[in-house]
Amino acid sequence: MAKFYLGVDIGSLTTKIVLINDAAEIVGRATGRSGYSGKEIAMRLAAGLLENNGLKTSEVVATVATGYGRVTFPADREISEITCQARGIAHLFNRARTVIDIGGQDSKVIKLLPGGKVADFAMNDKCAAGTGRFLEVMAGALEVKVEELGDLAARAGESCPISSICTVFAESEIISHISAGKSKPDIVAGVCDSVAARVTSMTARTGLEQEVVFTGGVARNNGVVNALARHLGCTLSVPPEPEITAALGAALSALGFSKN
Amino acid sequence: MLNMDQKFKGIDQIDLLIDEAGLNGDKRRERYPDRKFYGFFCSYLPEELVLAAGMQPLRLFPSSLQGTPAELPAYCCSLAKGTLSLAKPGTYDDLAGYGFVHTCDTMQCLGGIWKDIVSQDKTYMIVPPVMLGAPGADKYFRIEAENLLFALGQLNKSNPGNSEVAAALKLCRQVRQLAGELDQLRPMLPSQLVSALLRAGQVMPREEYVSALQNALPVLKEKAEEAGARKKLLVTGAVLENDSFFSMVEELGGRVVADDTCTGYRHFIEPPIKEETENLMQTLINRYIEMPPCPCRNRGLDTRLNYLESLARRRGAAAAIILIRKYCDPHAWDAVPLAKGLRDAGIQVLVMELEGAGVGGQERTRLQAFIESL
Repeated sequence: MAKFYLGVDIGSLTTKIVLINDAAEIVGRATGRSGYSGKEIAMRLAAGLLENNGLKTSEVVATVATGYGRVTFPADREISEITCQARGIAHLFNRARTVIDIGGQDSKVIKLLPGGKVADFAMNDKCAAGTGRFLEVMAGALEVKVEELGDLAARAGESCPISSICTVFAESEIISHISAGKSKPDIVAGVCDSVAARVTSMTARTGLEQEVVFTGGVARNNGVVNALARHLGCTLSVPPEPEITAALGAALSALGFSKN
Repeated sequence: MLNMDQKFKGIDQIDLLIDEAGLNGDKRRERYPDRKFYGFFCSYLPEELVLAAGMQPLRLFPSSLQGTPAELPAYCCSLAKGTLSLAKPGTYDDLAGYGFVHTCDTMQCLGGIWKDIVSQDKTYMIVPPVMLGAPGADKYFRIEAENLLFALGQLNKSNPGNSEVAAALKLCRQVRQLAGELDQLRPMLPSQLVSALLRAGQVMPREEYVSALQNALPVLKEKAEEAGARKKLLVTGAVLENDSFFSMVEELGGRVVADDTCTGYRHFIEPPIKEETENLMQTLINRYIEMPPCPCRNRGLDTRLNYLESLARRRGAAAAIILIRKYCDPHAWDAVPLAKGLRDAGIQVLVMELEGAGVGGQERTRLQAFIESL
């Protein structure tokens, strides 16, 4: 009978699940908004994923939960998202030494040893600045969709400085820029620079070693990718599905401990 | 309620101490109606002098995160906010007095505010030397201590002399010797248990603490067992008013084998004294000069780093966790060079900022990832 391994990443904004087989190949993935109960969403996503692949629950040998809601999910093990992220990235980019992950409500820099072991990490303080939520709030203030931020930033002539590190006050700054007649692209470029500056300061704590991989939902935003590359002075590798890499790492961990 | 291994539950000798640690002195009036308690905040306030003056030292802790009292700026630590929030409605009105130590601007200002709104007459500020090894520092500290003893005597209408100081010194040494025995057992006991047992010794009358700990130690020795695969950790930091962090360490597969927090073993440590002097007060003060310094004191640029590195090696700690209470400047400034120094010495370090002593989801992620990486 074929064996499968499930990784569940219950994040503050989004829940991601990844199913892999014995050969560590991704068989399926699913994502959904975590909402009130990330656990319920994860259960529903997992059931749907198994059904879509014609699999039974009994064929899933092991499950690892990660992310903010990991302790709520009935998994075989729960592992921190930092360890899972490192494992997922080491699997996809075997020369990666730094992971920058910007999720819904946190951002982190992870320094990797060869093989994907975590050497050190830094996380944002209890503050939304430099996270996906920060971008959502700013997009709301500008009345644009989050997905449009990257294209808007690419059209900027100059970047409007956002000096505040607090999401609430930064929103006020944006309103001031709008009142001053600044263009949306220029303001968006400023927002992306603000996130990049915040994350760059975190890399100073861990050190930056290449290859640098950028993950999390925000890695889909080219405005932030470009701003971050400029601030760090290096190129960034972005996985094709940057938001599922921690769930992939969780699935790989499930595979790993099952074999051991 | 302390989350504890079942095998340490239901043992009277241990339960009493855990109960006292959980209360942090809240039931002092009903449990010890004949005692006069004297509130203090910092381990550099010589407890011996409070005892010599006929009072019981009671470490003051914030009960939980409170709003910021109007007298304080928003950017000061939750120790200052929480204790002042408790003091204003009269929670500490039964105390005989309040002893402040100049550790930082916040505590200095809190002492001044305390005088204004809690009690002018019962509040005292002692200023130990910052450079503990500076020429004349010992003499200066001794005079500060003599002045404190005089003030305490006046406060309690007692006239403490050499015999009272000698008795208090003997009692404190007994407390420290027992705490030392407990600290030796630490690698083989749940982290949160040791933390609670040591904190009890800062909020209970000291004679009762000695008796309770003497009774508990044989049971603890009997039940102590090797930590097995648990990751051995050194923890340093400021005041922790509950055991939440230590419980989480255990839950995540760690074991605190060395505790250098202000409310942990650093409070009790009895350093080897070079010599017993003729002057009892100088003997007493020498302990405070020689004990491992906190970030508010200095005995040489690398004294604290060297002590912690050596402590980690002696206890076989795989890594160190530096806890910073949010807005605690001395510990925050100290954390950067300390973390670098420990890392340079090959010890993995996690710097963790806490609002108070409580830990939640975000701290869990950091701590879990750190322990997983060891």
